[in-house]
Amino acid sequence: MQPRSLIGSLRRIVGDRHVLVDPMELRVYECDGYTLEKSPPEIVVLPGSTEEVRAVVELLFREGIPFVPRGAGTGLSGGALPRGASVVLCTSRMTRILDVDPKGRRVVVEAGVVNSWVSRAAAPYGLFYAPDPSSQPACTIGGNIAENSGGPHTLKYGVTTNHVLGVELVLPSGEVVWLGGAAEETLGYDLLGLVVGSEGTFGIVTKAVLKLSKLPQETATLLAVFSSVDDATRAVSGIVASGIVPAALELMDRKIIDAVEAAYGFGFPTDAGAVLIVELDGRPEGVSAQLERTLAVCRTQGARELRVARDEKEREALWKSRKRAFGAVGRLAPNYCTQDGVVPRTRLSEILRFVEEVGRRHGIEIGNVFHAGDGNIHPILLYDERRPEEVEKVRAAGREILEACIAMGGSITGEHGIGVEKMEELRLLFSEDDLAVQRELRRVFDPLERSNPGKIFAMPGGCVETRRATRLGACKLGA
Amino acid sequence: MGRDESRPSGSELTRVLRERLGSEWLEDAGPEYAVGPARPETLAKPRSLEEVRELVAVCRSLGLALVPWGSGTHQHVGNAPSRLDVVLSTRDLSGIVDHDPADLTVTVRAGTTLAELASMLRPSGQWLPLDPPAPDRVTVGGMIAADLNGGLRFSHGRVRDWVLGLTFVDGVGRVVRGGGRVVKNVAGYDIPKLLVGSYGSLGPVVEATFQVRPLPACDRTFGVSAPSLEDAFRYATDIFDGPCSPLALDVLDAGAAAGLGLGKDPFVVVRLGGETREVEMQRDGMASFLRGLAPLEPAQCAALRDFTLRGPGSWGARFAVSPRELVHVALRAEEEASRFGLPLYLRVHFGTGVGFVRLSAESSKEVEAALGYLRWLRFLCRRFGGFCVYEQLPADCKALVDPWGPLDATLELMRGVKAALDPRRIFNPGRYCGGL
Ligand SMILES: Cc1cc2nc3c(=O)[nH]c(=O)nc-3n(C[C@@H](O)C(O)[C@H](O)COP(=O)(O)OP(=O)(O)OC[C@H]3O[C@@H](n4cnc5c(N)ncnc54)[C@H](O)[C@@H]3O)c2cc1C
Ligand SMILES: Cc1cc2nc3c(=O)[nH]c(=O)nc-3n(C[C@H](O)[C@H](O)[C@H](O)COP(=O)(O)OP(=O)(O)OC[C@H]3O[C@@H](n4cnc5c(N)ncnc54)[C@H](O)[C@@H]3O)c2cc1C
Repeated sequence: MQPRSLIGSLRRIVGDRHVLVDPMELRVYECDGYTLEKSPPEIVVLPGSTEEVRAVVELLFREGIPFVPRGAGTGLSGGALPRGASVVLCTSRMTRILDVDPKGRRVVVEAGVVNSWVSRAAAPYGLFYAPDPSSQPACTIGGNIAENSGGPHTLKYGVTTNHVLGVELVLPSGEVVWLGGAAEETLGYDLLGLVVGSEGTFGIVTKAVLKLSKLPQETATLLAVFSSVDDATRAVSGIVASGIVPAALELMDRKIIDAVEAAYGFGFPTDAGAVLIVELDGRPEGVSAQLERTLAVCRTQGARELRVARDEKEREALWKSRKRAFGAVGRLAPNYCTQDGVVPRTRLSEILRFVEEVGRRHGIEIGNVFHAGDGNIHPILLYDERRPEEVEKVRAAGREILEACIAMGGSITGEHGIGVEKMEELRLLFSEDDLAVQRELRRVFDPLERSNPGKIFAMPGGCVETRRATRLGACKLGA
Repeated sequence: MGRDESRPSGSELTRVLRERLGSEWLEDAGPEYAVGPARPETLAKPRSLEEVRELVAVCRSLGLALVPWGSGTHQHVGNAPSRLDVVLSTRDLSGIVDHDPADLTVTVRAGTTLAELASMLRPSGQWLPLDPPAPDRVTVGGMIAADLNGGLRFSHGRVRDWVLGLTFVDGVGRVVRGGGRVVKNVAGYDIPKLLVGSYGSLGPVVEATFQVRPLPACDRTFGVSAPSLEDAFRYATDIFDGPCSPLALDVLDAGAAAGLGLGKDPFVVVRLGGETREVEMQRDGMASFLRGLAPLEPAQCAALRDFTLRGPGSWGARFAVSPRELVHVALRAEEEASRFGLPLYLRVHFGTGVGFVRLSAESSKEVEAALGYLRWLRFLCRRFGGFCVYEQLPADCKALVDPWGPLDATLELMRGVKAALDPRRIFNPGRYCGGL
């Protein structure tokens, strides 16, 4: 099929306005939150329902054209980068909340529903949706499922996979299947568990059943100020070792504090080495007992200052500072790249020292704002994309940090996914056999590798090959 | 769903197997290792990952069927395997590999029992918050393979929520590692999820890493009788919607309560945990609207935990429906049992939509009624988006009803998974749902 008649067919399915081909419009889709690589698509399709997704996917399947699923494009590993395919399927019109079931604590949503809308819809019933990525005002449930996203509160409540009960999935052949549902278990293999975190390589999720949690009765949020990162990480270990599982336990270092202060003026002491945001929640009696113990641990580890939020306003201000930290970093440099390694909690101070040393060695500025309680670090590497030598340094430094995480028994990604960014490092983490099994499982769902090709697994022969083969012009012989 | 794969007689192959692997960890399997009509010849007790891999590789090349075996407590579940030559016992694959308390993770070998694991975590003030039946016998591998959960799922979720990573040997003879040893990890696909509940059909799990939690300072279980099952559900709903955060919340019908020595009326069990004061305040809060709320004895708690294995009755089924429909389904299940003239024992994990029924049926008339009842119950559950698995059936009834029940469009995908990981069908062939 010629590109022009393909476009015509797509328009018949989703409507003229929902097929984008104007290069200016397409530029929005040339990358996601990972900006080290860009590659504009040739066509963006915005389907409005499962039926439209099905029809589009089936058409592409017949024509032999691969596609890239996309939610809000906030991903940080290039998962939605149109690299191996030139057609993007974006869920931005699929934004209906279909059912809220307060009695069963379930909600059914379309894939394009924004994360924070779910908690907003649940709030009147005293419920909330626990996974809370910092990007929650923008990112979609479909994207969260694809990346198995986390957030500050996943320390206590678990990540996306612990809160998804079912998905409607359009397979790359166009077949629509439900995996799981409102019941907590299903018969047979846990295919749902496999789909969550599969980065769009099993097809497109169109609907999801999510579990809601009861809002805690009491929440205590604490800011602890330390002179050094080392003191702060020791406090993290101390809190966890004392038998407390905080709802959240986040760390920001000096560079981030400075950026946040400059941007928003929350009143952090700018001479501090690091701050911790600790949140405890649950029953009032339990929270007050745990708060006492947490304060004591922080004091023992040399906290210079301890501020407990006195009301909801102060609490929100603290969280705003944390969740906007990435935005604030934008003031420090034209570009930044966020790493997402994980280490056992006991190795936190070691890895942070290593990060600092890597930055010094390569002459790159690095700030740290991360989920300390989980051992999930987020070094933010600052650079300027107009300087190729800086881009190279950032890539090299990032790789060294991830290799160190592996050496400490950790992982190369805690929540952002492999995407195109960490394909090489994935090979350091798993054996050939492990990866062969993963690829075989992918082919169970997507035998021809049409959904988000060229992601997660490094292709033999390199990706340039893939890109060329999938340009639409080459597809006229396809199918 | 016994697909009869034709091949040479077992004994000759067994001889070759022992020739290739030596006899240090292979012996003749006793009759206790029979699964239904299938009787294995060899009991293998590998002592290392490498020995497991060798065993699988040789079985694969000889076309011998293999069943992973923990302590054999849940071998009754599902279809009898269509073939069975070798039992792979994990008994000599036990013990902790790694536990750093400050990391809140533990790596353990598959043959370790849950009781052993618990006693190794307790000195550090930690636990794995899962409570399947018979922890003194159930192994870590068996719990993963059979997806065994208990009342704690109300607050702490299921096995799948606690496994961070695992190592298994697939049917191609590959050592496969999935997940990792840290609490957050999205590198590659979440392979561990696939093994949870796979009933040994994808390969033996050799080692697993779990996330663990601090033990609650105080952990106590209370119960209260209710005049009717409907009232019991009303109590449970009030607790569920109220200010308490129980660890577990179970409802028992009159039969189950009586069978567990908890009186002759329907019964609600609430397990509370946390700081001591927290537990006391919650208990006092509940006692104000639940007259007669009283602590349970440890023996009663253990009996409740072991309900699916040792509860009253000899037939057992597990069901799951949308929690919104749970009360309706449970009440119908109770009502219908009396119409079938069967004594019923019912336990549900409130708020999760999961429940268990147990039945007694001895005479052929009762057996007839029990089969009819279970068919009806499955129909009902399926209508409410769920399923019903007959976990304990007399062996001769497995030919009359499918222990698992029908699968929908996902069966094709599951077949694909099985074909990828066990192309020659050497693990538990035919045992799992859909004849996988
Ligand atoms: C009627 C009955 C009464 C019982 N009564 C008691 C009692 O009174 N007291 C008591 O303590 N226990 C009792 N039990 C036993 C029970 O307790 C189970 O304990 C146990 O649940 C399952 O764990 P397991 O390790 O025994 O696994 P198994 O039952 O051996 O295996 C269950 C499934 O998992 C698979 N599997 C096992 N290990 C692995 C592995 N490493 N990798 C992959 N797959 C694996 C098997 O192939 C099988 O499909 C009883 C059981 C029955 C059937
Ligand atoms: C400022 C900022 C803060 C962030 N904080 C966090 C955080 O705290 N925790 C965290 O985990 N992440 C965080 N992220 C990363 C990102 O927001 C998450 O990965 C998010 O889940 C992506 O959702 P999205 O809708 O933007 O997906 P996209 O970026 O559009 O896509 C992400 C991946 O999902 C696939 N995909 C999207 N929709 C579907 C679908 N319907 N079906 C199948 N596949 C699909 C895409 O192909 C791609 O591979 C942050 C990002 C930013 C920019």
